[in-house]
Amino acid sequence: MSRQRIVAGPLRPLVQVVAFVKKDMMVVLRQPRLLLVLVIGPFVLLLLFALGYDQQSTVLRTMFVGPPDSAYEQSIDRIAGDLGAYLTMEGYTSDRVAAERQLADGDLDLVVVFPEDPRTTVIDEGDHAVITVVHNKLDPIQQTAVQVSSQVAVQELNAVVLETIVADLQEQLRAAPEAAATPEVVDELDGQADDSTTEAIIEARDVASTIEPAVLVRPFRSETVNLLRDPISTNDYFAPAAIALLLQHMALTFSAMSLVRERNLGLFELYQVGPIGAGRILIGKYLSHLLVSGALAAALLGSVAAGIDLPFRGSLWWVAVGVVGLVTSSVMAGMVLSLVARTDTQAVQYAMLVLLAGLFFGGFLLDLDAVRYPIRAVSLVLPVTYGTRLLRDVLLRGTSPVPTDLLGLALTSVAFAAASWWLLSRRLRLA
Amino acid sequence: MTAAGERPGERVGPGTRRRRRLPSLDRHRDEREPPPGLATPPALSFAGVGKRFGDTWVVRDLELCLPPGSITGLIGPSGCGKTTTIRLAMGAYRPDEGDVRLLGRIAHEMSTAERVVAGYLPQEPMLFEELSLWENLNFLAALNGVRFRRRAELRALLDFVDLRGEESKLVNEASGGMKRRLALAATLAHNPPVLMLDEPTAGIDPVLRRRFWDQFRELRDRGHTLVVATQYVGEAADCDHVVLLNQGRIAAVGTPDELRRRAVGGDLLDVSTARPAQPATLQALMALEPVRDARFQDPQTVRLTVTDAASTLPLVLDCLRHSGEEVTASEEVSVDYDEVFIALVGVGTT
Repeated sequence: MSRQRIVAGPLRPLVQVVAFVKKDMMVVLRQPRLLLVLVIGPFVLLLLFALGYDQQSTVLRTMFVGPPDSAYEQSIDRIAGDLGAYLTMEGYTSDRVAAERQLADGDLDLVVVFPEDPRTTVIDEGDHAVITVVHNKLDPIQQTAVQVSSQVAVQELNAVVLETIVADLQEQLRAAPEAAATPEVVDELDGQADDSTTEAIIEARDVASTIEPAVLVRPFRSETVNLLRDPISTNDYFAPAAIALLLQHMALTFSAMSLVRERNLGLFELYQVGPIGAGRILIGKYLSHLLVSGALAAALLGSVAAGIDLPFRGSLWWVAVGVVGLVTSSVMAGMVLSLVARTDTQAVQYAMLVLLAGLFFGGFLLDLDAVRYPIRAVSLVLPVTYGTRLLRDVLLRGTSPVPTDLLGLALTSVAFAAASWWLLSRRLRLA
Repeated sequence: MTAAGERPGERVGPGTRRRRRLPSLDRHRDEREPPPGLATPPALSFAGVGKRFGDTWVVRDLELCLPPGSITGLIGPSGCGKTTTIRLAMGAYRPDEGDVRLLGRIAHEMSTAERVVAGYLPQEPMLFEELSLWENLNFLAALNGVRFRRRAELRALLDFVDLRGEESKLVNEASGGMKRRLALAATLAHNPPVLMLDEPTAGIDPVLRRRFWDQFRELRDRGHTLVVATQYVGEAADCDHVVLLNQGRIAAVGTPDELRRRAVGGDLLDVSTARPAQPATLQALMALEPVRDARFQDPQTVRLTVTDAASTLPLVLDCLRHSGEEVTASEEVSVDYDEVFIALVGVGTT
């Protein structure tokens, strides 16, 4: 090349910079699938979230507990109807133990326990009758929702009671002479006990004069009881979900990148002609990632326990089972992504989309019940969905994991493993 | 045969150095020998093989039969079908026409376990940059099923490829030649009887190339069958058999000498005389039965094309003496394989 063709002076940096601009743009533009994933992927996730998010899901399934054949049972339909925006009535029972069992089993969100004899408490003792609202929510947002709902419900109940009392008094007063309503007349009639109207007026006066105005106006107050042993802080609540999400992302990204890299390196050519099959490759890679991710999970859990004092209320054995299940499912999902992706950039992008999906649909921010079917299917294929719930149950509730979560991790692991085996076998098949 | 002929002797090419013997190769050698009385199947055979991608035939009408314990060079320019031929031989491609048999078995139908009979050295060394040479070799050996206690065998392999002492070096710190030698060692790790080497010497310096060929010959002498794809036509001389490929078809097959003779019509002899030879002398030489052609290179040198240089030279010298010419020098001309290739490809394509 002749020397004159080389750009000199200030134009040379421009030529060089423009060369990079053109080259890098071409590299990106030559990957239409990547662009599609970058633009459409997050949009689809947001769209699914908007379509699937169900605000009605905050309505709490509630069982009312009180004495049999009491006034509560007769007026409960009306109360529940007025509180329809906050709760759905699942029934009325006198068996508190059975109701709380249903609550523990996840069949109910709330158990509202009415006081046995509110009249004595309010009129004789001059105190508020306490309505106990029992729940077992971990989510601080849901705990607040329960408190607000129960306060609103009790206000509504107070209003109903006051309305009933006032209506009764009005009925009795309508039956008395108008003059009887004056205090003088009441005093004068105090000794004439044979007149029922007069007795009622006297009783009403006594009640009105002896009971605290606050109790008179709000005879009921609510107390919220959480069945959990110890209170859960916001940090505690989100920590297991964050750990599950990180583990999923880490295991999935590592495995996805590993296989993509080997393909780019040309190792698939060796796998294709060598004495090794897809199954052995996948098992080897899985065990390697399981060990690495398991060690990282242990370090992560240990540091979280020490650093933010995360409670470990359940069995470490179940934590280990959960981590193994979550990592297994995530590694296999990563294998699938790596076999679908054509470049390492695509693999990374897919991994980021799964992370985003985990945030929206994996129970990290919102309870799974807030997602409608069929969009909840997205939650069901994410390992983090089961991992989050499992770790929360074991670490925070101190219980064993629910079988659905163990089954979910097992099924997703098997499904992703089968898919990755099929994809890899197809890749290694003869041309 | 369509391709290779008789099994070569125990010749060792020039420049061959004595190296430490590979224990693994020696140990398994007897196991590979067929039982007495059974004919040895060809190491590799192609019968009317064709392969196409889409509508384009990449290779076609391949007819080859390679005996065990030989080096066969697949020689041709880039894009002539060398890699496709190797991949067909490895069973990575299913032929669209014909059969490829590796040690008697149809290559693309071989099970995963059966694939252990062949070792494949791809064009580019497939090594992990973050791992050391030893770690890469260890991984690739295990990939091919070499037992857990393999340290001694792998060390012997490192000796064989002159990488002993370098094993702790990371691949991203190693030179291109070291990577290629390591890749060769990895291909040998499970001691396969058949080795398919796809352009093993591409882009490396002549000294290292020579060392590679020394190693190939040593492997051949130990009983391995090597198929070496190369675009260096000159490497044909190092092979026992040569397959010249051009545009996906076999342009010529034979030993290097056969091909050379075919290209130039026989052996070449240059005979120099003390004074310019007379045209009558040329006529006299042409009259000799083994002489196919005679022409002046310069006034005092005659180039003869003869059927066999060794047996014809005394006749030529005798003829010149009778013609009154004083012979000052005579030598067999070594033909450059580039010329052989051009001549044969030209013949094959016309």
